[in-house]
Amino acid sequence: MSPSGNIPQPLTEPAPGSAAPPPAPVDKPWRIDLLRALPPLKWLVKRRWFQFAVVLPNLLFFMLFLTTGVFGTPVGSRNILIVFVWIFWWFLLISAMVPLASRVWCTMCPFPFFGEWIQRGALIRSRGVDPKKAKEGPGVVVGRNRYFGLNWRWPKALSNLWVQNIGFLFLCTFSAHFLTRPLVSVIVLGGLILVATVLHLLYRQRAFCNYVCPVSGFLSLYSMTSVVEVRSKEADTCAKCKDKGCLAGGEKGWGCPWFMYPSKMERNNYCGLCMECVKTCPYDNMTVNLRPFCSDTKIKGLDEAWKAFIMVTLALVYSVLYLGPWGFLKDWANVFEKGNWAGFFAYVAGLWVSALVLFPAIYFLPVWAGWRWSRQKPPTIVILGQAPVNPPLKETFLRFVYPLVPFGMMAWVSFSLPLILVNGSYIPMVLSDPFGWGWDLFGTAHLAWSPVVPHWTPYVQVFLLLQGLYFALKQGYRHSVAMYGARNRALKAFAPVAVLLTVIEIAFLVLYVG
Amino acid sequence: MRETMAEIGAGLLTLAGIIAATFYPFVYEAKSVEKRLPPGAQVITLTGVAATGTWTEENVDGGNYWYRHFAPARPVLRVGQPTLLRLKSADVNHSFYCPGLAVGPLEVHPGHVLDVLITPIREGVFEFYCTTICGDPHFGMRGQMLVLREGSPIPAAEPAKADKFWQESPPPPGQSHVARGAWLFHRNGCFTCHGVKGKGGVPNWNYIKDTIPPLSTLAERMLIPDKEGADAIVGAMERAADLKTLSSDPPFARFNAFLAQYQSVKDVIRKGNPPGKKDPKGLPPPLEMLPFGMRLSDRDIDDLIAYLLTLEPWEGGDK
Repeated sequence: MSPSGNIPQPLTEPAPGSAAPPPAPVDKPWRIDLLRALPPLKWLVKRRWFQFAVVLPNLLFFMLFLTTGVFGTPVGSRNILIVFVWIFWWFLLISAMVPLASRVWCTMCPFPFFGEWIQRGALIRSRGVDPKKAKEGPGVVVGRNRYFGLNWRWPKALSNLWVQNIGFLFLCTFSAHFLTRPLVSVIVLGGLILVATVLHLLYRQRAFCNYVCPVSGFLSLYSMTSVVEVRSKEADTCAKCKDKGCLAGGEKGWGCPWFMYPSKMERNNYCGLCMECVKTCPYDNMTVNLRPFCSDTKIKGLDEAWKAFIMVTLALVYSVLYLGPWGFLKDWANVFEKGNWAGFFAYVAGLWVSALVLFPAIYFLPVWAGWRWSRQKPPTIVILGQAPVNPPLKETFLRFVYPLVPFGMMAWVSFSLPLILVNGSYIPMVLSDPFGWGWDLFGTAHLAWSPVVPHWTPYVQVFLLLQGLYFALKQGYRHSVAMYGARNRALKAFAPVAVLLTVIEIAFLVLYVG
Repeated sequence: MRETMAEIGAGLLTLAGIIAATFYPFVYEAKSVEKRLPPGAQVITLTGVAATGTWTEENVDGGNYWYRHFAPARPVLRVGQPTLLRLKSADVNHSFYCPGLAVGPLEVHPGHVLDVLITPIREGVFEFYCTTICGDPHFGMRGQMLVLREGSPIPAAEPAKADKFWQESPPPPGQSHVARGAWLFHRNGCFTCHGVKGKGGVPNWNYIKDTIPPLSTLAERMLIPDKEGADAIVGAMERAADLKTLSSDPPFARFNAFLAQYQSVKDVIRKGNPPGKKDPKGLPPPLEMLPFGMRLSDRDIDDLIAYLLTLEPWEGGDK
């Protein structure tokens, strides 16, 4: 097989099956080249051992957590698996990692560790291939790297977020179980490692991360808000580059495991921050930028739009379920303990129908109303190359779904905040006694449970929710202006959606501060 | 070559790390327990499981708690041999109390381990209890510790009775008040202290009367003179009649005194009644009439009393 004939197909924009990409709102935001500003960071990410060094400690903690899940105490609040993963990690992920460092979790994620190790046959080095000797040696050559496993291409029909959407919704349906039962958490997390490993043996590179991992789905969506991005420095340099090491790989590094063409990447969604492109670029043209919050503003397909719907629905449902006063709903969700199957099916039906049908339909109505309201009679003479007077409904819908990204993310941060403030004092306890076996490694095992500033929590939640609404309205309006040009029409088109967003905001506020 | 060495090093580091993260905690645990043990001591771990009201010696962990039924503990200690009792809770707050060996009452919090070192000085069979209401099965949460002389054989255990009283289904609606009272008596675990059919006789450490008094003689103690009188009261209760309305044509002498007794029995059930100590300086009795006012409604208490009134073995009547 000729290496040149087997260069991986990049996940070019738009995702397969989606509509033509609408132009982004005109924007010239600032960027700070972090690798230039921080030479030690550049030195670090250029090392071949960089990713291994961040994954390994995480993997070892993960193995320890799985062990505690099976052999430690069944008491959730005293088992490090539950406390660290579902209280500490979740909060850190949604509130700090994603907004401040995009998909940095994917850089250190232990799920694909074993699969990638087998697939690459290496933990640190890159298995670059001399094109002349491509046929020699074991494994399959993809681009200019050699891989073990079957290296099938991921099916085109599944090259989107739908598997992740359904998988995430499925897992969240059983959240009442894995949030409290260490064994269920072990099954979920261990199962993900197993699935990742098997898929790495069957499919190319990080097909699991890109298309299957349920965590990756929402990271993909919310990483659009992040203040960090991996991008090329100069578009011209990439255009002139014939080597395409970032895509094809080589001696210095692996071709983008996420099927991206890094030099043309314009969104964070499918960049796992593995830094391979930074290593492989022969012109040192890839870098890590600091940028304003919410810099990626395009939703490119219905799969991404539905991810946004699912996430907002879940934030709302979880707020009702876990922070609300309706204990019977929690009992419905907790079917294996309470045994109320009728209630559980009502809960499942409610959750799935709300997330997949009801909320998207409710959201579509104001989009459609605004679209109709702002319609103008098309001119009798059509000038070639000029944008249509009335944007297509699908484009309008996708653009107006974007406000749900900052809105949903802030809703999730608001939801997660009380979890960490109220239950955070369990963290030092389980650090000292991770298994609940009576250890006291750091002298903190017997600290009393003490919620942190519980009286301030609602105020912070309100602030965060209002921030989310602010960014949602701002970005929605910018999209509207980009589509309609005239402010009057843009306002007309976006006003119904803005009203709906405000109503949802009020629902969250009522739930959090009554 | 350098790359290959780094690769091998990374692989070995990964495998060693995984093995260490997975297995070292067990080694550490074994060593840390060993450190606390005096020479020749044994370790007995008792874990409280609220779901079945059990103190068990079996290992209860995140992997098996959800599906396994844990056997009740029957720990064996030896006279003169130090024993480290490791008390754990797998779910909620329990209290461990073994008055015969002067252990407790000790609060056992979920996810914490309470270590107690004891050295029994005399042989015997010692009851232990949970003395914090930890759920519906709480009232059956007790067991026996055997203290034997060194070398004595361990007597065979009686087969454990699997009475899951807390799971008993409620009687169908419309059943008699007495039948409902019988169900409540069983469902709430009253029989665990008051004995089957209220016959009493359950020993209670340092209790002024030594054993829990029977309830089967409650009718007599409530000043009901005979079976006819009891039947009249139960009959009225079955008709859901207000007992005070019988005052106009009392079914037996001293009926008003009975009414006062009735109220005081209700109060005891509702508010509880701490047991008197035989030795005022001794340990508190483990079994106590707890307030059931939060668990039982007024109607529940009436039904319970109606049932208890039927238990009296009247002379010449059916026993």
